[in-house]
Amino acid sequence: MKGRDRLLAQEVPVIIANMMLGVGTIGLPSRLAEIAGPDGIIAFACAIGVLVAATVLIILLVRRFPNQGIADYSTILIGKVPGFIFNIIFGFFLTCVVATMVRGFSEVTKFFLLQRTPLEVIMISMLLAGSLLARNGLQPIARACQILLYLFLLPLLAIPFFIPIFETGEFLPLFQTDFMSMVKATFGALFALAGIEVMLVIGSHSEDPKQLMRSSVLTVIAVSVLTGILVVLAFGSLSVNQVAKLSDPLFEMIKYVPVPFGIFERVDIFFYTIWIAATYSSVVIGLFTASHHLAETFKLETGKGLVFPCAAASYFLALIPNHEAELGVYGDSLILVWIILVFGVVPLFLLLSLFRKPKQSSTKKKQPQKRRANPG
Amino acid sequence: MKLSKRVHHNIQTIKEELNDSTDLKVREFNLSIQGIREISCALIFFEGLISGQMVTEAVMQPILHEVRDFDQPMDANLITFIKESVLTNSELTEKNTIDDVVLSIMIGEVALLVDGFNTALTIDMKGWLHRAIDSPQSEGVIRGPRDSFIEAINRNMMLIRRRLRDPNLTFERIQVGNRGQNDIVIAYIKDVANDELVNEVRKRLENVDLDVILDSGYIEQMIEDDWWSPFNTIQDTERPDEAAAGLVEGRVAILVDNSPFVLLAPATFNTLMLSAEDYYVRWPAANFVRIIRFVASFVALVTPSLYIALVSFHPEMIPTKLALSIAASREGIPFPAFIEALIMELSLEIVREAGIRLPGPIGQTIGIVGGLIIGDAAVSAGIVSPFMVIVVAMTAIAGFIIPTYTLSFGLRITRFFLMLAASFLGLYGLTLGMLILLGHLATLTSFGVSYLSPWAPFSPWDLRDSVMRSPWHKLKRRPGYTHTKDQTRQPLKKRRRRKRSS
Amino acid sequence: MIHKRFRLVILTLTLALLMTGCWDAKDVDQRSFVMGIAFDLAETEDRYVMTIELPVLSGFASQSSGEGPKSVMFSTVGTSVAQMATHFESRTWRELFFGHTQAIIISGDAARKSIRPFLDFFDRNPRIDRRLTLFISQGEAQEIFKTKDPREDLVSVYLNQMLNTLTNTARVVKMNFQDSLRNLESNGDTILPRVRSSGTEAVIAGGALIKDYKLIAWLGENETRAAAFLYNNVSGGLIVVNVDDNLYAYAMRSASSETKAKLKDNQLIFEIEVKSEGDIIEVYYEEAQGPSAFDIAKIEDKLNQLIANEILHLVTKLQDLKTDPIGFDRLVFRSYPKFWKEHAKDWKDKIFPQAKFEIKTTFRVRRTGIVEKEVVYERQR
Repeated sequence: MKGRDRLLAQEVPVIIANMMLGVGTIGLPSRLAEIAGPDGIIAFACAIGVLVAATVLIILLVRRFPNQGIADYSTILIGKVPGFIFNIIFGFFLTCVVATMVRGFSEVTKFFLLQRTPLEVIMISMLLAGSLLARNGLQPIARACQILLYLFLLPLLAIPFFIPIFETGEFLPLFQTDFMSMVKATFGALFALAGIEVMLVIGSHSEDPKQLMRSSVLTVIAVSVLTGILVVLAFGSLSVNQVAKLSDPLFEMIKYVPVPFGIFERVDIFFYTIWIAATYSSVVIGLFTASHHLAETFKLETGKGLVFPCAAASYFLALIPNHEAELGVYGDSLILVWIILVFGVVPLFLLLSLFRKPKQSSTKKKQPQKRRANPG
Repeated sequence: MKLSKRVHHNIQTIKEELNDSTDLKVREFNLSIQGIREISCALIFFEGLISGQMVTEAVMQPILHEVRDFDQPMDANLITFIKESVLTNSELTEKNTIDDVVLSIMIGEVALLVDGFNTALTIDMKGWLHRAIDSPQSEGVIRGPRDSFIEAINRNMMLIRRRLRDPNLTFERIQVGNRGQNDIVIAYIKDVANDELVNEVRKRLENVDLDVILDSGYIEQMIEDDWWSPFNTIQDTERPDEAAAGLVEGRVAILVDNSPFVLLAPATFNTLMLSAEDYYVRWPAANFVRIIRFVASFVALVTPSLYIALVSFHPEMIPTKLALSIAASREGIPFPAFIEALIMELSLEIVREAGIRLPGPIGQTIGIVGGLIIGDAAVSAGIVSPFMVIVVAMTAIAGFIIPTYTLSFGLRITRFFLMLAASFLGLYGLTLGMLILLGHLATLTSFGVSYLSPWAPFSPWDLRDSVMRSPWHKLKRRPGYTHTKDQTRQPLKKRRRRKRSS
Repeated sequence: MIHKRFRLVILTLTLALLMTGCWDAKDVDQRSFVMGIAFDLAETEDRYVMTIELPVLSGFASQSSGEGPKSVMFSTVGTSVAQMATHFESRTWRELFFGHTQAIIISGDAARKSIRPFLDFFDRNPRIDRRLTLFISQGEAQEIFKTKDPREDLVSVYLNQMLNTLTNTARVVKMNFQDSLRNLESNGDTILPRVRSSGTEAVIAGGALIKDYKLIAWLGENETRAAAFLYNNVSGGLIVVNVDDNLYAYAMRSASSETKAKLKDNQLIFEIEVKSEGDIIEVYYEEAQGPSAFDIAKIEDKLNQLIANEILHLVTKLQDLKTDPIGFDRLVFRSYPKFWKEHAKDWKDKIFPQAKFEIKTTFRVRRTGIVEKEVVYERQR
């Protein structure tokens, strides 16, 4: 039997970053401004804190069970039947995540780019394109994501230099929002930044588990800060009021940028492209994670065959919300599940693993063999 | 089947084996030893593979003259004597079976049969005609060597050997093709190339079971990793310097007899985008050209589809005045932008293909007629807009900049796919098409090496020779993707090494 | 086998999906580019006249003869923008396309009622380029489109370009749609550039003072310049000062302003600081003999006084009109959120009119052109 698909040490941050950057990023400033005004920045900082805590918990659990996905050890920790039920629920959750992403994406795309194209077509095309890559396994995904990451980073770093107006005054006054709104805003930020949970499934594929903690935490912080810069830019250039009003303020902010070279009327064409790519990478990782997890649950050799069923499932799930507002409600409940998962289930598993010693590499999971002609 | 001791019997069998082909020449003669005994012998060879004059001068004459004085007893091995003391040819082998002898005859050797012995002596005298070494047709350079491979495999090996006087340069011959029995040579530098890579190449070549190999293209398609892909994962080159450079980088070259194209494996997108000349000109020039090349290949890939997406779907993204003049120029054109683009791109491909098939001077005429006159006429007739002509001309010219012919094929096919995607879903479709393309490229591997190396997985050392090339004195290491045994091309300074390790 | 069949399934699915149509494909020449939109009051009450300026495409082709009109105007009457826009659809087979709209002009009369009804349609439209300009016209708005400039084919393009490249006069507030919305949505007040038709020419000068989405007053060119200083969007412009009966033309090369809010004993004080650097580009003297040397300090003094007075004049006027288009309220909100919470309701009526302004202007003359000093030859003396 072939060894498990390995993830190079340099590819772990890539996967995390690509999963975090995605659909949610575009609406993030709006959510923050709407609920907390200028304090949205503080809520965002809180969200980073929560996220780092989540990352630490998840990676601790991943490192406790090398070479095993959560589907394998959940049955060991909480018993066969409860473990199976948990695995199914978790798989469903992952599929829902994909569904939310796809639906949110197609809503925005329909609105900005393709007003008359049916939502279904946008969703199906995205899911199909995503599953084509997701079927090919972890290595190709990681490589594609790596290329995409260059594509994201360069413009993200360049945007600040092209914003024509930036008012620092927009960030005042601080600490005017009540506690509950802050919590809500933090939730909103988490919605945009979540994604680290995929490490529960694919973290164990890392070739270098020792580095996992450091690289994951650093990536989470770096990506959050980058996203934070976008939020800050949106606040400063469009004003908090406007950001709160607009559904996708980042696009408007980019539209506002005067074009440095006159080939295109607006730079937003590049931004759309980047954003579509960001969504695509999240969808690919999401689909892979969901199918891979379910394959491990059902003790299948690969999740390849499950990618299309997962894509189909998320398509039908994505059709459920009637309009964008309802989608927001679903998104919020997903975040609730996320919090329960990360701060309820993961610590519970960690605790249990202290008592039930993890079985070291059973016959099914072979120790990783060094790949021949290691790509690189 | 074993050879028998009777010459006539053997000749009969061989003739039967070869169906008494007309170009099979059997020269029977009697050898008299010290005037006492006469032994009947025969030389068997194919006319054309070997020149008759050579046979007379280099085989017949020495045998007839020298063997006369053979003073050994009768049962001594006459064959061995001829082999060791008479013939001056460099390659002589004793063969015991009919099949071996037939094979030797077919590859251009002369078989000497001597009555009374059940072994035959085969003499390598390959002397068929071949083309002179010419300058490369598809990979021309301004600065750099002008020789190219030809159809004769031994000449091709010579061309490589002349560049690499390394005792470790190894040529391994394999015969493939149950009918063609074609020679294939695996070339690698023993202490550089990764053993696993060489083994993998050897294994894949041995698995090829095709009746005849007429060109290295057969081999390329039989051993490549992904036959679905429009992109080639094995590089082909007709430049000996390119092949030698590949060997030094730890790649394996596959030479196929009768093919002027040598295969290099593994190949990545990066290596396919590089031209030999990049290494011969100074680094600023090389970098400049490389950047232009990468940009141009991107332009060739997306311009038509971007035009379709912007003109048909998102005119708000074109600068106002440009949008107005595009709209004005398109007014009255009966086709949507996609059909317009398709007509132009297809006719461009037709013109290009016609230009290749036609004899040289006419080919150029076709290019001019097709490009200028038809384009101009199409615009005046109102079939296409002048902007479309600009777009098509730009993609065509940009497409020619890609140094590897096979890669430009892949990109040309992908261009149509992207145009289709853009015509259905606009910018979103175009982006999605590009993403599918990226996903595909990320899935591709060439002998276990990621096709997108060195960008993904990221390897900083290899980046020194990708879109940018460092000056030669900085290119101290061999590329990492080949996992060479010997990793350095120039001695690394000690201080630097310590710095890196700490 | 499953693998292959799957590829087939995907292929057919994708093709079937795509073949069913390209819903949004509409080539550029199939769209009517609405370059400019003008709104006027209709004769019947509660109805407006919407006029759009469309380019005549054949006039823009490279082989065009250059004759014939380059643009065409359509007008319709209706209540809401969306409704009026649909009226046009029945008059042109091409779909109206707002992606390249350059200018929206609202007539002063319509603006006195309210400009709000005209904005929402464009605010919601994702294709609108938010860098277009919102103008208030003195007189009929559609008259603007009737002006003809032989150098520019489309009036709307001309207007937008004009406003964005006006660097030699600070007599308009450079404000695009996004900036205007930003001000309007924060407190309902703003200053919009004023445009009027002189019959043959469209002139942009001065401003329209909007309070609670209603036009309440016109601002003169000097007042508008003061406003531009407060908005901190002056990039250049000419100021002429009179020193010792000679006129000095001062061209600003850079200008910036900063406003701070201070609260002392429940008294709001706004500290406005304007800084500028520039050159003297012309000296106009009445007498044959000019001054032997520039008194740069004096010129700077005069400039400082002039602009400080203009700004003070403007803010006093704003205080009298109880309107805050500059957004002083934002400064208070940011610096004194508690004070703001208490007084937010009567900001425009009570707090703002009583605020004090301290204006500090620093104008610097850096160069005086290539003529350094007036040298008088001995012989001529």
